Amino acid sequence: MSLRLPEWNLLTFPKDSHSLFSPSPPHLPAAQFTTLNLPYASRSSDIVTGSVESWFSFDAPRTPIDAIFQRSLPSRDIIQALLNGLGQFWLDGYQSVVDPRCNDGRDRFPLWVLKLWLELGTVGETQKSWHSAFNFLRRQAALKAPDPTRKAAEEMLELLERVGWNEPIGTTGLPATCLIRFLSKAWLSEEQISLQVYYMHERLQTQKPKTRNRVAFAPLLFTNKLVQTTIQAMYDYEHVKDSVMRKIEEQVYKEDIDILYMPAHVQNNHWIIMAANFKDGTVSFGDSLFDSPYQTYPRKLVQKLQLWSKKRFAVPLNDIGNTLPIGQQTDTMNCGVCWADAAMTAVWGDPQWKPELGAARRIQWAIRLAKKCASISQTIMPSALAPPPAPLLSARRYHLEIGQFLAQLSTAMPTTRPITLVPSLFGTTGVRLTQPTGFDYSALVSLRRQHQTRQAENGVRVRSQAEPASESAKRQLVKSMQAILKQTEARGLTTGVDRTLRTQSLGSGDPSSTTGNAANAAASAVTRAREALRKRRKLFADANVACLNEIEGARVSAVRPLLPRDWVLVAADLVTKKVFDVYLAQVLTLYARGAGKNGKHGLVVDGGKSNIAALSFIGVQLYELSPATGIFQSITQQTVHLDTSTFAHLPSLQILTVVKSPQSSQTGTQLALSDADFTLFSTLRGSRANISKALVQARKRKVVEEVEEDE
Amino acid sequence: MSQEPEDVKPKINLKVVYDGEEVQIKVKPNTKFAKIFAAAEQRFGKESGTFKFVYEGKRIGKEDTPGDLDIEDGDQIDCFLEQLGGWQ
Repeated sequence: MSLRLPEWNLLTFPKDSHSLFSPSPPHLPAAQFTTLNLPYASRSSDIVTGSVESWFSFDAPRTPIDAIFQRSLPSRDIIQALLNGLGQFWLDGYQSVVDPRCNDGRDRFPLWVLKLWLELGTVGETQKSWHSAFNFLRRQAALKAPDPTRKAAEEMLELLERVGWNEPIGTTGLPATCLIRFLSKAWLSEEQISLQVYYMHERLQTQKPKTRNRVAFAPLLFTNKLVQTTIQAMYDYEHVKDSVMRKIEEQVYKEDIDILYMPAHVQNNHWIIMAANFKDGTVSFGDSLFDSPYQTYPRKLVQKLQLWSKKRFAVPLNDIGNTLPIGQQTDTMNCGVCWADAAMTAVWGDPQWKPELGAARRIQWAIRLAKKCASISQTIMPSALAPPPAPLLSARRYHLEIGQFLAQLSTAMPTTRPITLVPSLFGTTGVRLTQPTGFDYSALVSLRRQHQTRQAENGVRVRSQAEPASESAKRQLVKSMQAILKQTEARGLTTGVDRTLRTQSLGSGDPSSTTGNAANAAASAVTRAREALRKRRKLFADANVACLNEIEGARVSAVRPLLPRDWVLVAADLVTKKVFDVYLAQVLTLYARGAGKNGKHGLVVDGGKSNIAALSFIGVQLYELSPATGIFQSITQQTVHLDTSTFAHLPSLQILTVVKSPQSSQTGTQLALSDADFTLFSTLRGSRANISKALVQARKRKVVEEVEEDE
Repeated sequence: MSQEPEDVKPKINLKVVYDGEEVQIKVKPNTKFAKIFAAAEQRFGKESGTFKFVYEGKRIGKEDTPGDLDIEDGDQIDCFLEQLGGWQ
């Protein structure tokens, strides 16, 4: 630590030579500054090789410092590397800096040249910026520019003959280099906004507002702090422990401010103006992009301002929206000028900002602020500042100091304000206190404060979402265009069930809804049926059943759905349980399980199904083969004594395959299958042991599942 | 420390506030703000040179010292990042 100071001293410029190598005092007029011959910045062609060590020497410094003005500056990275290593090199006994780029590295500069290079680099960059500002002004001063712009540019050029390139502006602590942004097409930063607030604050001291309202300007920092939750948490205390907030509060309170204007930064890229009117109990804002499709409503800021006013002054502010007159920008850079000009219009009645005067208004701000620099203001402007206005008795914050207020009112009041309003207690119109001692509000106030809800304590009244009644034609046009665009815009693509439904409905022209509970259930039913089909296939395959191709899907498909009156081959255990035989059958009814978790089995009425596994049960009439004739008979062995037909209610698993309609006898009791179908029937019948195995297996699984569920 | 004869004034506490957070920095009245800036930026985890500092509405320069600006013990210094605006 004790070495730090000497090391720092190494880089201190010797006093006697200061003017020599620092030819740019801050008060040097900007016009002269741009003509200075500074060492040019490093270029990409300056290739520097060698270690950091090659830049230091044990020799004592001997080269005159002027030499560095004849060559380029080393790059910032090199200088930083040298500075980082400086301490150790100095301890090792190195005494001077070498410039290996020139004179074969024979120069020996004092160590502080490092810092000088660094500073000259910064100065050089600033010089470049001033150069471009001068170019901007000269272009604007050209003959073809509009009259006000030309005049402003000429005036500014004249001022820059005297304004120091880096001299401070007024008491802001900001240098004149901050004016450069006004003299370009750049976006304005918070520095320019602070300068504008400063200017308006100063103007207030000499020129009374047109409207006779008591007006104040809050700095940008105030608006930034408004939205911080830590600040908000302090509203309930006697004093907010933040100097910026406190200063504004005291000003509003002591000077009895009617309207507080402030700049605000919204959307991270836009400046607007906001105004809290304590007199009328309103909060409004002015957005220079409000007529454009890019406008947004600064709802959060408005709410925070309302909360602040309510908590600290007990003045509820009514949100009246974008009612502050403000010029509408058509360019992409001037909102930082629009807001300030809107404030000047509102307070002093200056002409409003207009798009065609964009450049002129920017330059005018630079002129106003340049005149605040000492080199101008001390020669032209007489610094006749009006004495600060005498503090007025405020009716606000009555809730904190009502007793004191009433006492003062009774003694010293009716000279300035014969009728005093207490705007917060009974709405903005207030109650007339013609006989101030006649009524003591403090009891009422404390009662109300004790019993109010949290909502009443913290809530603020916000403007309804309704659109303003009068809309400009341009805005209406933009809105209707956006509505059309929105309509034609494709719906956002989704995945999952939605996507399945969307692709399925493509080209079908089916207008039925693709979303909703019913659609979801239908979609999941399809998935479930597909899963059941897979299980069916596996079951028969595992049991080595013949003709697997035919029975795995029962030859049912979207092309050939299963319908009532279709003919099918089925397996049924009519005679002995768990011993299945194959029968021909005609489908009578189809049942399927409804959608949802506990769907009921219901009759399928709207046609058939394209997936055999989607059906739960099928009602059929059975026809049994008479082995001797090869003919199927409706009267089976089981019912032969009763001389009746046989019907069965079979699960879909027992429907093996669909066959063509058989040829029927005249009575309809005897049927003959086609040759192909009969071969299929025979093969299946030969494989009935395997079929039994599969179907028994299928039933078993159910039992196992039930047991599991019971546990 | 014998080389610093000025070190007779007591140190003062500065409250540096950024975005609702605050840090305390203890400095001598003749410390240059360049050093205080670096400390504050480090505490808030920001690159050096990104913050702008304001005391009572006045921008603080690197070469200023708390003594120059009549800053007293416990005073608040606000810092913030650059804000740009033109259009959205």
